[in-house]
Amino acid sequence: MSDELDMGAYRQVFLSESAEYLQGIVDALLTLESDPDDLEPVEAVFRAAHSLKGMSGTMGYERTASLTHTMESLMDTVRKREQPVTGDLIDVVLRATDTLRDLINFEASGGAEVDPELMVQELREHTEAAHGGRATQQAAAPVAAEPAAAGQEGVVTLSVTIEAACQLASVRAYMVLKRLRQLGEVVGTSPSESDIDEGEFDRTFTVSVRTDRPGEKLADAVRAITEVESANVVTPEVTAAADVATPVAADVPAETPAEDEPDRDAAFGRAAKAVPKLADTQTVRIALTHLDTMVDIVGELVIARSRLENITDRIDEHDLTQAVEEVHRISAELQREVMQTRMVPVGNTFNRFPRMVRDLARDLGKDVAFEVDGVDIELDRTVLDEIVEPLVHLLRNSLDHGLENAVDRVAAGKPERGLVRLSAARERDRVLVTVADDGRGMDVERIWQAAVARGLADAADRDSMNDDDILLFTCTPGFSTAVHATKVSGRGVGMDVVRAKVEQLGGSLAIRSRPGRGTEFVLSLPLTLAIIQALLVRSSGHTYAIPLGAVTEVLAYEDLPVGTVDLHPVLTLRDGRVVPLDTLDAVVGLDEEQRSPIRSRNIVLLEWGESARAIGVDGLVGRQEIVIKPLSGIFAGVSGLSGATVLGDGSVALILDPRALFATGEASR
Amino acid sequence: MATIRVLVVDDSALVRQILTHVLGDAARIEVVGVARNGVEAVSAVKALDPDVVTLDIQMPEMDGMEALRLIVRDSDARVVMLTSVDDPETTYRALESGATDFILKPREGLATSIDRLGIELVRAIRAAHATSPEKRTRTAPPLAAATPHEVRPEGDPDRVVCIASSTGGPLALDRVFAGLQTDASAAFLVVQHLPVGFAASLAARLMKVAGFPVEEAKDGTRVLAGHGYVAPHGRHMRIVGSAGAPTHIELEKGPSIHGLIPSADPLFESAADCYGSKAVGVVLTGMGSDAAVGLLAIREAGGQTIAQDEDTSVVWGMPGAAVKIGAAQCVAPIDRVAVEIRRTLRNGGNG
Repeated sequence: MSDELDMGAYRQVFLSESAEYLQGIVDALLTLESDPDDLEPVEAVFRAAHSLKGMSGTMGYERTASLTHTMESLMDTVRKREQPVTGDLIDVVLRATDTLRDLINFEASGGAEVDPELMVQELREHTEAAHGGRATQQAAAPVAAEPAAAGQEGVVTLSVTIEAACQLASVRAYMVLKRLRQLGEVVGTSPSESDIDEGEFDRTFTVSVRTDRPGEKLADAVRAITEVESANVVTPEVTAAADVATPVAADVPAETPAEDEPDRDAAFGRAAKAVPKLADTQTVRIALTHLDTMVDIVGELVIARSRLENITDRIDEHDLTQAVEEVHRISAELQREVMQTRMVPVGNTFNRFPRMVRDLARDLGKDVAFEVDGVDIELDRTVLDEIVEPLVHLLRNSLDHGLENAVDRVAAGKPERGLVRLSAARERDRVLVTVADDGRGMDVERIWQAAVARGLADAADRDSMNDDDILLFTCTPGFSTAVHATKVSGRGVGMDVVRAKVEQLGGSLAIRSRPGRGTEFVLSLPLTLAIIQALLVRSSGHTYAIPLGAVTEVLAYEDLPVGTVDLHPVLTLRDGRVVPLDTLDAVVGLDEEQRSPIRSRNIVLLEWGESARAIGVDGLVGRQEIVIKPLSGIFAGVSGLSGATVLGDGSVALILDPRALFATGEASR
Repeated sequence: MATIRVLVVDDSALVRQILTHVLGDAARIEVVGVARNGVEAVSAVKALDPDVVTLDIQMPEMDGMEALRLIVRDSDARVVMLTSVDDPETTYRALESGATDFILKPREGLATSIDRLGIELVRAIRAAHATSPEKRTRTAPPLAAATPHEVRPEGDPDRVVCIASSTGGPLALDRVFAGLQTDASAAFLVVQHLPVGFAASLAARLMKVAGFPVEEAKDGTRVLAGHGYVAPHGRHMRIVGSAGAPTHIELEKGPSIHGLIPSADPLFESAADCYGSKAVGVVLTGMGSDAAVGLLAIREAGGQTIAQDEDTSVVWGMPGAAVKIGAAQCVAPIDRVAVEIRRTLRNGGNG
């Protein structure tokens, strides 16, 4: 009935499903920590542990089943309010989750052996502490529970409307009531609860809840439920709870646009909702190697298509041309779809950061709110994998150096809790990933002086440099203005590595900082890596490909005046800017005798960030999609080239790396 | 025969795939849909009108208990719960709320899990399908715990009462044991077809409603008057001894009888052998024909025999088979079964 093939297939299902549950547990624990009074995430952790227990039992993974069983028991005591949610509790369950991850790796994929016994013991002790201490806890409960809730208890009445299209209004109503019971005591409904249960209501019903929370918060929680059209507070709220809640939003520095800064609890609310969302996405799992092979094959197809088009141009036969155009259209569609399979939501990677930030904040003794935005934005899988390390570094930087300690923050008139935000946004064919903090900001003058002291800049140039450029000096290898190398960010990769990695991916890094307000690192990344649009040019008998993203204009030589500055040819653009002009031969470092005597006939204008430069070429070949193949052998170390591609006629073209051109050349300022 | 249309409800993709696989291999069973939580389950039941639903308990959005209530209230689907061994309380609450049967989530490694599910789940689904929707909620409200009897006779039993049950059995046994308030010098032996690990919790529950000691039988357990014994999973149970003399329980592994271990026939036959006219046999609700031959053996040995009636049986398979071969002297509705047992015991030995 069950053969080896099934075993392997089921193990794969187990592995990917358990990874989702593990992530769900971590997300829920962090949400719980941000609002320990709302026990909804406890249910999520409990259920995830329960499901993992069942799944691992089914697979026969005894140790995993045993560890998840003790996690489930512990969460059961929290769920039943037999013990309070504390930082220690969250800590122990987070550590248990780490052990669990290793354990699954051991039992299901033959990783290093893990003995969960110590962890199981520790969880048991926590569980028993709840049972043993129940009597005293109950006595202490009023003291412990009340102060945590800053507000006073009051009755909030909500009017809830279920969507007209909803097939099972009573089921949704049940979920509304269940959710509200997690936030307070339901004291009445209209129509009666049994009528609601029978579906005897016309889409709308009202619920009264005794709670210490602001009514809007309850309404938000209800709105988060599927097929709820609206939820509104119908009783005017005059409790202290509401008053306490508002100033938080009012404290936001006036410069920050309000819509950028919804109150933090709401942001956490969204994070909380992201937990079940993982499970909601219906997907088919495909091994990555299949996808990679598909991308390769489509790459080959694109090349073959170009060859076919070359031949068609020569033969010029109507039917053939039509057929080839058809092939072109279909293969373009196929390519688009296949490339799409490489795209993954950044949330897949971002979801590991809340845990890291939390642990780091605890280590540093800082109170930090961490916001994650734009988790649905998609990015090429490889790009996403590669930016993890830079992001880890930037986040560490923000927490350690960016955010002041609580005393300094209060002295500066800021809220005690620091804010770190990680966000992704799509901007045309690029994705901007931003790490921002509301900390002390960077000291431009100090960085400038350090740069001058190191001979990286000339003190006289200060006036011609803008602040953002100066901040980028921090990305020079060996550059550090940090007074103390701390445990947190005094090790591992530096800013230079961050920048190098981002640029290697075809992206760029920008830094913006305002003293006392905070710092922002913006990674501008290409959507995808493997296939790009390129301009093909010829120079000294060779064909080169220039990524179209970097090309702003193509000119004939006689279009614009060429002059010289310091004996170097320059081009004066229409807007008056003067940019350096080099021949492509010189740029790729061709020796004088190899260079073609033919005078360049075209100029390609490249822009990278704020810089521009002009490249003279012998001629233009055309615009084409190219498949990037990495350089190997003698070319691998050549700066200025990012790879090679096979053209339609079978010849090889080298791909220019615009970033390298701007890094090495004399870019204009 | 018609195909049984099944809806699989579980929040784990792994479990859904395994269940679908196992059911896909079974004849006359078709998985018509899967659902990942209670809300999906309720809408899927509405849309697909399945004959049988396999229902997980712990699920996001809406749990299995709430979904069970709505499914039983709003549809004709029969529900088989998938539960875990450490939660017998919830399992019994599910049975009281209208679940027809339950099986345990597999937990002994993939190969064994799949093999066991292939047998147990398919059996439970067939049994559930054989029940009528009207019988799902006919059970009386949950029973109160009985006051424990102060003094129990501890001697060798004068009589043995052997009870067999299967689908619908746990709640039927509740009603019987709740009605056994007697200072009987009899011992009670139960074979209920149960998932592994559930005999102990069934024994605990029966003890609560009966007010006298009921335990999971072990090999060599001495049978005492005024005590009850539940056969464990995976062993046939027999008694060795005679009326009024030391009597022991013997457990033995297979082979399975009617595809069952334990089967009630070995117990009933051993009771007929050792106790003869001092044996009482009772066959309660259940799929199949287990215990019919054993009941006939007790009757032929001069003992008393009772079968549950068709109207109150969730499935009138086992009692029906016993009635058809003329093994049952008395056919009674479930609420009369305890009365009949007490009357039989009062009337003494030879009928």
